[in-house]
Amino acid sequence: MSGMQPALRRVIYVSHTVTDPDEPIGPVLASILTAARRNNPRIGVTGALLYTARRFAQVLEGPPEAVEAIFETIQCDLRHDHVTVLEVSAPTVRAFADWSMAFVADAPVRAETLGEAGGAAELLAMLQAAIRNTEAATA
Amino acid sequence: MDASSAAPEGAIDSLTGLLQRDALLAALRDAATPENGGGQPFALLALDLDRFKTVNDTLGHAVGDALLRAVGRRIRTAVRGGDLAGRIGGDEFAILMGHPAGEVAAQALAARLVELIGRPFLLDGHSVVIGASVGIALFPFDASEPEPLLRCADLALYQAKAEGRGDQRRFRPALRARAEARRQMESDLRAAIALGQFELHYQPHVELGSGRLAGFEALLRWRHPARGLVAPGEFVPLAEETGLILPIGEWVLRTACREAAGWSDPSLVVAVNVAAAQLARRELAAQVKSTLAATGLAPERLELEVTETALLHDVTTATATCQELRALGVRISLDDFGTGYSSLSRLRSFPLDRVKIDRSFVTGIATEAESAAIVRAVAALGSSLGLRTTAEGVETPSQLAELEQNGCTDAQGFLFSQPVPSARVEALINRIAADRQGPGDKEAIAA
Ligand SMILES: Cc1cc2nc3c(=O)[nH]c(=O)nc-3n(C[C@H](O)[C@H](O)[C@H](O)COP(=O)(O)O)c2cc1C
Repeated sequence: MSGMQPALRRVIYVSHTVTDPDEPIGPVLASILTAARRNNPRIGVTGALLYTARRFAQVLEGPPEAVEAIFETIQCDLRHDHVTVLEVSAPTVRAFADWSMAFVADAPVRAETLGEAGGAAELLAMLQAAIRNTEAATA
Repeated sequence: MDASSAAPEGAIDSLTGLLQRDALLAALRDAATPENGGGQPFALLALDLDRFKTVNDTLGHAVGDALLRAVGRRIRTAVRGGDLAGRIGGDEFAILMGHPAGEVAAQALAARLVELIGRPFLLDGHSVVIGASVGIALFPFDASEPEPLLRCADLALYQAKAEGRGDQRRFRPALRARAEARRQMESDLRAAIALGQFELHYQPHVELGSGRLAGFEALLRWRHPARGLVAPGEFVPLAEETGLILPIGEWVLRTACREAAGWSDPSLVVAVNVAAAQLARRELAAQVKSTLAATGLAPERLELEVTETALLHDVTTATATCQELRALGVRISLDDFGTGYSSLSRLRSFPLDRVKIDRSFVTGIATEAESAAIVRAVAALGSSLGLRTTAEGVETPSQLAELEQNGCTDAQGFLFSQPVPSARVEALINRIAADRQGPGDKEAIAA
């Protein structure tokens, strides 16, 4: 039996981008990731963000209060809407321990399958695989 | 005039960071008064959370407070620089829109509020989705005084909630007339018991196969002095909202038991509808017991009809109450089955004696395969669980034949008789008995 593990919370959600489709999405993504990489380490939050076909999918994990606080901040962001939570769980280990916010673009998932039942586990596995591949390619 | 910067310290609600009620009402008065620098057109939005009470009741007050805190933040995110937002009740908010605030701007803000508050909240490990409804009133078009303007916004809010929640409505003068009519109806309804304006009508239910009369369902009617006979659909929802359903329900129970005790055939059962609010109270069993004692009706002759929604409202209390009632010898039947949310398997866990299949399935039974399949499935499940199954709303002999074939045990509907006033019950008992003895032609009953 291990000692007292600090409690972890994970939330996985999907949402739609609401930025102008004619404007490049690059600066929006850069601004989100800059904020994430600035704020998340301070509060012990790690995770991954997927952007594909004008949808976001995000995994946030860390101390429960920190995850709930950053989740609420993100809910108040008017750059996305149609937020659907796919999973709220209490994992024993982090899936993205090394990443304040890993980013995956245009991953091999169809946007329509993102919000479906059972989508959370599939999404998590896909994001982890995508990130391992990136690490292998850049190693 | 940002809510948190322009207002004096004490005027801020510490939970939500919005203005307190008094501060918002003062700002509303100023905005409507030229002498105080107001008088320009502006919009007032009334906002109410849709499922706040449920969250508070199921997840606790601490989570309820965290939710209000987050809602406060979302409202502050949605409003524009010159708008003032305040919390004016437990989960009620108002937003005073500064200039420019015509109908278009107000509707845009309302849409933003509804969308933002409709997003999930993550609270204590739960993903919680509530929702918000918004009513819009414009100064000075809808009202030129602060209090009446707030009333207009509230009326529009009620309308939004009545039409399904999670949306916005603009005030219309017709809403005022409707609210007035409702108030009138409520006060009439309050007086109706004392004035003896309620009466019960009785509709027979018949055993299939034998054609034997099994009993009557007691149906409430309101003989309104000006409007004539009012159907329950027109006043029961209001009675439920105002809590008047409790004294009315008690009257129905007492009257049905007393009248049934006087019927010539002591084998006949009387079925009485029980509202969700009655079932949610622990006193129901005791009330039934004393009513039976006072009227002399044998417990086996009373059947209480409950709806799925009433059972699901508070499953634990409802189950306990139904168990107590059955221990007295009273029977329980599930009304309007198929229109609510309960699954067939749920039937197993409730203490029931009978399921009444909703008329919507019965209507189509002779013509639609799906209706027949549903009726057959319910009847089969009923029989395996030892429940009787009554088909409601039977109107034609061919429906009756289908129901018999599909395994229903009882039926009720215009084919046998429409509901009749108490004074005509004896005649109906005799007629149905005579029909059984006469040439076994079911068509004859339809007369
Ligand atoms: C899809 C999406 C994901 C986001 N993820 C994060 C995040 O993980 N961490 C974060 O700090 N901000 C995130 N943001 C941005 C926040 O909504 C907000 O703009 C930011 O936290 C503000 O940071 P600042 O106060 O440091 O400027 C995200 C926004 C969007 C639309």
